[in-house]
Amino acid sequence: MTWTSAPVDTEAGVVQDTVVLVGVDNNDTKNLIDRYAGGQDNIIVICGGNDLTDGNVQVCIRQDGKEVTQSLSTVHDEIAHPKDRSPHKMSCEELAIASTPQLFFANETVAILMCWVFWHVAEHPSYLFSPTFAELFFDMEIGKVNAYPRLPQPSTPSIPGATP
Amino acid sequence: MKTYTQEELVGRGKLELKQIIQQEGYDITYNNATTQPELVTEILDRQEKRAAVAPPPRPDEQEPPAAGPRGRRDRQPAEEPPPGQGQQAAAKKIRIACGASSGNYPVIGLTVGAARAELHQVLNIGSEHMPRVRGSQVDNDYVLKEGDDLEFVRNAGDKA
Repeated sequence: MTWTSAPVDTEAGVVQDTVVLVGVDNNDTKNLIDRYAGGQDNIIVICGGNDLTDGNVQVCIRQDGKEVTQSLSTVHDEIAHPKDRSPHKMSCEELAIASTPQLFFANETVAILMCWVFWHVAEHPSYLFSPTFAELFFDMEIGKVNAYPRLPQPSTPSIPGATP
Repeated sequence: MKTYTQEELVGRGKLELKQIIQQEGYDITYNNATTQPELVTEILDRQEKRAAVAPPPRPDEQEPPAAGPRGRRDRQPAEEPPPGQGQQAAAKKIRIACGASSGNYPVIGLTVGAARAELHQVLNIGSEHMPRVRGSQVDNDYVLKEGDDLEFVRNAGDKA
């Protein structure tokens, strides 16, 4: 299988076997990409975002029509049910109000963490079948990065009453 | 009770300042939007008020001076609990994580809701952060057992 990286074509969508790097800063657009990815047989979505001093990178891998890692919205309820709107749906005034201060160092950190994931995807074929982590959280305030596996949960959860 | 200089407080992160507020029992209200300088100002204000009503500590009660020019050398990972009491004690703790914050805590037998209430300031857990045990979503009534690991899923960054 050959993976390629290509820009998103909003008319044609994202082609199969593509690595999609997402840095959109709004949950409405993440939801759109997540739903699209869920319909693809083979796709990798590396989604990064940050607030002022912390942020996260999540990778969603689908191989042969099956989830290798959980989707964006399975893990994040705020992406499953976005309360914000994509910038293209907002007026200039709304965009100006929605704008918040940004810290170069936090933006750089999330970009580098996305590169960490891309490096695994590009260099370690085993990562695509058995990823050691699928979400990273960083926090500059406490100087830490935490990794989470995000493997698909069994349809019958091992914990009574739990939701997979 | 420890008294901090402004220089010591300025050199600390928000999480550490919140921990100081908890440890010292200061009546300070804050949320995620409260800035680090605001927390420093509030702590200094409470220290002044406390010093005004309390007698000065005896010399043998005083804390040793903090190391380093900004008092940072003695920093501990803010969310980590004190060192465990051996492997048996460690086995009775559960790893709890929220975003980049995590630690092992003795919460077996507590509900997720109780653990959230206990640790919401230390691990910066918001009410909107959904709990997951061993990867599966659970509710606040779930009772934590040995071998569990609990995550409060922090919201994805969106510069909001």
